[in-house]
Amino acid sequence: MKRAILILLCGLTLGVLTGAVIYLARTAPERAMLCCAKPELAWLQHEFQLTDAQFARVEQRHGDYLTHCAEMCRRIAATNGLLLARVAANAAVTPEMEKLLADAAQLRVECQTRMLDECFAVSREMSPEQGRRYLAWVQRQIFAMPHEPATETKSPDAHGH
Amino acid sequence: MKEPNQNTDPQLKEVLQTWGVNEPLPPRFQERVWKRIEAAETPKPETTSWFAALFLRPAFATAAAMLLLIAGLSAGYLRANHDAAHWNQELSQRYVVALNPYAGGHP
Repeated sequence: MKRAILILLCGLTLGVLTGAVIYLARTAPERAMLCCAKPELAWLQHEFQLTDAQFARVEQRHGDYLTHCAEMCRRIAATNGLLLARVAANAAVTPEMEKLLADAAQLRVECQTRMLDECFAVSREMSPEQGRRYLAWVQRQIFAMPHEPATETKSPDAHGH
Repeated sequence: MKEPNQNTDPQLKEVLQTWGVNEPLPPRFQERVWKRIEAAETPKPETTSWFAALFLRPAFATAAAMLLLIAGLSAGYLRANHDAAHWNQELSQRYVVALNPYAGGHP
């Protein structure tokens, strides 16, 4: 009986150990990405198999893009603020409100043009096959209709600036 | 109320002297008594439950150990797949949000 209990305990211990080893080995890339300074870019590198040189260029581009994006965000917020103030102060659409709406639309066009340009540039840094895959993914994620689940995001503040 | 003293009651004493057991003993009464005494004096052997008898045999224990091993391996693999998919999804969404200024209604 003691031998049987020993065999069972060995089985249990080995089961737990192999489960843990498999878990750690299988999730190692994701855990490594989560610990990075820029996990989303680490994910991009892993997902689209960027070489270190490609990744360095993409990272540089991404930094420049975010700087530009922060400025655009500031302008969008300012325009939206002005528009909201006019909406609160008026009971009908005024020419000034029309201009602010046009400005906001123009800013959106600028932003999306810059974003699309960034996506194309990032895809060009990748191998042709991965570049095509990246653009197809971006199309699904960013340019899908707003009611589609692909465009849902977890936090409205997550854009970060 | 005072209890009558039964030891000194002459009537009771007389009845008790005439009382006797006339019923015959059951067959093999003495033999059965001795057997019960012997059984009570003999140390009982260690009893094992049917569960222990069935499952704590080395063959069964080895099979159960293999099952535990496979279960642990499968659980680790499935959990890892689940978590990896979740983290991948989360990271891809972070990238989308970083890229798209209008993601999630921002600003």
